[in-house]
Amino acid sequence: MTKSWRQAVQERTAGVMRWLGMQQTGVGLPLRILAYAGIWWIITGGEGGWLWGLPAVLVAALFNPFPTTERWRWRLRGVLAFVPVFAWLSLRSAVDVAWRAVHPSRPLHPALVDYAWNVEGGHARVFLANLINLMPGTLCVRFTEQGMTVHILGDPARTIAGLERLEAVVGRLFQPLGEKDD
Amino acid sequence: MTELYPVVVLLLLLNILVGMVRILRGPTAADRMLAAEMFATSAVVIVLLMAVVSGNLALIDVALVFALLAALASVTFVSRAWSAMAGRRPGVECDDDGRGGTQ
Amino acid sequence: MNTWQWIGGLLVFLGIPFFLLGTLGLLRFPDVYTRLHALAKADNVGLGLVCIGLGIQSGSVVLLLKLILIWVLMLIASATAAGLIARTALSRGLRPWGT
Repeated sequence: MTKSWRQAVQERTAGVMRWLGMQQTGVGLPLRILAYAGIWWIITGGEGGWLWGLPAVLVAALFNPFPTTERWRWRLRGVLAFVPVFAWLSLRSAVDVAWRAVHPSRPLHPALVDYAWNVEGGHARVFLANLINLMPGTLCVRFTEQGMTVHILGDPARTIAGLERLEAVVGRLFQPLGEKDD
Repeated sequence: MTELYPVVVLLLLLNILVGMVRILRGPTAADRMLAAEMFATSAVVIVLLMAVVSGNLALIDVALVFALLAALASVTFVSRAWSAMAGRRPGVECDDDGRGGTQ
Repeated sequence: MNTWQWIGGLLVFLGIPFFLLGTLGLLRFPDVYTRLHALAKADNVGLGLVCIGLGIQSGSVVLLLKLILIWVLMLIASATAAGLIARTALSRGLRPWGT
C-alpha cells in the first residue's frame, strides 16, 4: 500500500519535471516571467498589486499556451531593427490604401501572386504571413508548405521585391536555439 | 486641444453610422464582419478619447478589454458563424439573396 | 500647454483621417479582399497615431506603454482576422475582383 503510494508520487513528480522541461521551449522561462511581469506592471498602471500579480505572472509563464516543437527565441538586435521598418511600412501602407480610396478612378489592380518561402521555420513564416496583411498592398490568401499566395493591389514586381526585403528583416527576428548570436 | 476631442468622438460616431451601409449592403457575411471590425477599432478610439475628456482613466481598461475581445470576435466568426451560414449551400459562397459568388 | 501636449494632440488629429478614409475604402472597394486591405491598414495606423498621441499627452510612461499595448493587441487581432477571412474566402471559392 505504502509502496504503491510512493511509486505514484514518484511517477507524478517525474511527469511534472518532464512537463517543466517541455516548457523550456519557446521563449524560455526566465524571459517569459520577465515579460509577463512587465505586462502586469503596464496594465496595473505601475501601481503594483503584486500580491495578485506575482502568482498570476508565474502561472501564466509556466502554462505556456504556445508550446512549439521548434526551439527558437527572439533576437534582440533583430527586434530593434524591425520596429522602425514596421512603423515606416505601416504608415506607407495606410497612406497608399487611403490614396486608392479617395482617388476618383479608384486605382486598384488586384492580382494573385505566388510567393515561395526563403525564410526557414514555421514561426517565421506564420509571422510573415500575418505581418504582410498590415504592409503596403499585400494580403495573404493561401498558406502552404512551399509558399503563400498573396493578393496584391499594385505593381507585382515592386510588391514582390518589397516582400523579399521584409522577409529578410523577419528572418533576423528569430534565432534558433543552439546557434550562436551574431 | 483636448477641448476638441468631443467633436472628434462625434465624427467617429458619424463614421460608424456611414459604415452601417456596408452592413446593409453586404453582400457576403464576411463584408458585414469587416464593418463590425471597423466598429470595434472605432469604439476603442472613442473610449480612449472619452477617458481623456472625462478624466476617468478606468476607461482605458475598458479599451484594453475591447482590444482583447476583437481578436476573439473575428476568430469566432470565421470558425463558427461563417461556416454555419455557408453550410446552407455547400461549395458556393453566396450572399443573402442566394446569388452565387461573384459581385 | 507645453510642447509635448501639442505633439500628442497633433498625432491624434493626424490619426483620425485614416479612420474616415478606411471607411471610404470599405464602402468604395469592389470585393471583400480589397476591403480587407483598406480596413487592416488604414484603421490600425489611425489607432496607432491616436494611442501614441494620447500617451504622449498623458505625460506618463506607464500610460503610454499601456496605450501601445492596446494598439499592439489590436494589430495582432486585425492582422490575424484579415488573414483568416482572406484565406477562408479564397478556399470557399470567392474569386477576387479583377482577376
